[in-house]
Amino acid sequence: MNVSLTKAQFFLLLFIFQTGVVYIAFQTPLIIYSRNSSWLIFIVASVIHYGLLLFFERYHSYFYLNVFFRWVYQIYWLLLTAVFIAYMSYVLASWVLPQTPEWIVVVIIVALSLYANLSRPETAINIGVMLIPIIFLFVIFLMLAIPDLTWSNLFPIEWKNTKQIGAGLIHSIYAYFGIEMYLIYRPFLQKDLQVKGKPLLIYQLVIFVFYFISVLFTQMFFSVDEISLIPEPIMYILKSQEVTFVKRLDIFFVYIWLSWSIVTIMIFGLSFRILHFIKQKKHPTRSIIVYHILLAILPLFVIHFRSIEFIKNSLHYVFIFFTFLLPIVIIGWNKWRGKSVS
Amino acid sequence: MYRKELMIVMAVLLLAGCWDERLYKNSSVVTLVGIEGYVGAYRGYYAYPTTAAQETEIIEAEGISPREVRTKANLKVEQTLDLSELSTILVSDQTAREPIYDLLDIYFRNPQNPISIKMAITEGDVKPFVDLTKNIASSAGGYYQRFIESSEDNTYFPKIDLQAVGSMLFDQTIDIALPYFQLSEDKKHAVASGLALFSGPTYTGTVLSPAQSLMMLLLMNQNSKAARMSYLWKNDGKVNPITVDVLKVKRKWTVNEELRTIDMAYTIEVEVEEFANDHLYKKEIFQDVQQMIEEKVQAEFEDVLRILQNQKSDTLGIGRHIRAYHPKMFKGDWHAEFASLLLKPKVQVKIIRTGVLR
Repeated sequence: MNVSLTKAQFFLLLFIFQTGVVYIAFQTPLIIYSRNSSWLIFIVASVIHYGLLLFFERYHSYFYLNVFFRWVYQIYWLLLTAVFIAYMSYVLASWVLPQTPEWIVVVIIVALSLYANLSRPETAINIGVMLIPIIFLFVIFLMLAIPDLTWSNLFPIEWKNTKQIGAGLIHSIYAYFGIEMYLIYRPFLQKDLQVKGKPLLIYQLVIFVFYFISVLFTQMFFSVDEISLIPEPIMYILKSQEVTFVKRLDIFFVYIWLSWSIVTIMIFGLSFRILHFIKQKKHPTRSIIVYHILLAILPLFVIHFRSIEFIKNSLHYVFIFFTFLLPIVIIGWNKWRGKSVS
Repeated sequence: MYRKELMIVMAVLLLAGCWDERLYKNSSVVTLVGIEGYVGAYRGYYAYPTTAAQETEIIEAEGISPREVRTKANLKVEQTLDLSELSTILVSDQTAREPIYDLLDIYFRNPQNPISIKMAITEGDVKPFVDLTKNIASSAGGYYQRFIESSEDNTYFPKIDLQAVGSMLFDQTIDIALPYFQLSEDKKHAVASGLALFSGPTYTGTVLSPAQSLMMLLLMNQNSKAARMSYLWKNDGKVNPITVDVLKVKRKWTVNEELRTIDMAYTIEVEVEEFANDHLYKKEIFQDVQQMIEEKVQAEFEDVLRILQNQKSDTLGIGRHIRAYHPKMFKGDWHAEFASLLLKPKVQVKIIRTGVLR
């Protein structure tokens, strides 16, 4: 596939991909397991993430995927996208569209992704630009909750409880899932551009601050025992804010989150295209349509409370494998064999 | 090529709105809810404005749970009750003796219900308090909401909404204190009578008077727009009233983990708002008045703290402070622990303004 990315496009793609879908919900499992120490454990997780980014930047040329691993990642992304669409539909049904049939919501999301992926790759790459101002609105309106925050919720820090730290780090992965996309899109960056050093650090700082604010606000807004009841804490904080221009601020932001998440789904589709069409294939449109038909069908099997809960309680293990372990193993294996991406 | 598909998607998008369209003109928009009873036998009151008669209609129903009460109330109205414009929830004091989260779950669970609303406890049945709003042309819930907000501005009630109540109910380290209403002697008005103290999820049965409520809020460092205290100053056999308004409260808690004591140092800066005796520019008068206020506030602080400890009601959030900064001292059963602490308030009052007179 013939794609050429600028630095801005590359990092925007990563940012939208990493933050979409999970931004409203990743705080809950983190705080359930890390309790008062969550914010500190999240800082540690962010440092680990930055270390991984540096590692990926240094060895990205060794991330060569053979046919088997290409299919592994394509199937993983297909299933993960289906799960995300199911979750998006579930959240919409819970918060704003309780009467609307879930399949309608799924079809709309998939149709938008199909449209973007039948177009030129630049459509999915650049569409995230329109989200930048509205994503900042999220943070700005979160600031309304500052008077309701309880600073003492950030303490005590239990730094000796290794089980708690481990569980917290593992659940922090929800925030930083999908970093394998760095390796997928890195070869498409324009040849003369450098990302190591300052650009990578700035990206890490931006995504860290964006997430860290949400962790701090969630931890200070809800009591530790209360948070286990709140699956989408950011939405709940926004719901509890009173503004004069709209009765329910949460509805406004559910739709912002939805559009943001739809772009994430589009980028998943684009990633699928990149791996699938790495070599020239016949009937590219048909493959994309089949991928999207599967996306429209698979989520319908899991849009209910028990399945969503099961997925939420186990997805971090899947992320650890596909986001961290497998890329490291592939890089190590190819480096040993001396095989790299041309 | 894709224009047709895009049009279809747009059409489907418009279609999706139809299922979840809710119009106020098709609903009875409830602004005030009153609830009394206990699990298995609740009675609820729903006040909503009628456009025709320009007055408030009140619907009463019974049920085994708060949600069933509402379901049954729907059988008595021509249009389904809609609580999205709810302003206030009133709960009878007897009902609040049971864990009140049972009443509130439906408000937190359903996103259509607002959670930035007010909540209050009534002395005795809720019904007469709801009935008071019958002749109010504007929102019945708005009446109590304004009432509560006005008392919040005068530092008689803490600034908390339903979300804060829910949050504190799940937090073992702080207790809630809710506005308490009584009926006036002629039964024609509601009277803000102080704060109903809770210990954990249940009402203790103790109500702080408005003056004690103000002291409690000063202890919490939550003085609002006005926090007025009036005393009688005696000098040369004459009695002079003096009223001061609290401008600023500074507090510092020092915890001694071994002795299990907390030194609670408060510096309260006030402005004199009423003192017909005048002559505050005279040093001896100024200091005598300042000391008299200091002693009174000191005594009232001690009194309020004694009540809170007797009721095991940690409305000040001392538990939060201890858990955060002295975790070794924090015990699981915080309420029992709180009652056994030695709390030593030390008040310093500073008159920093005297109005436009000396």
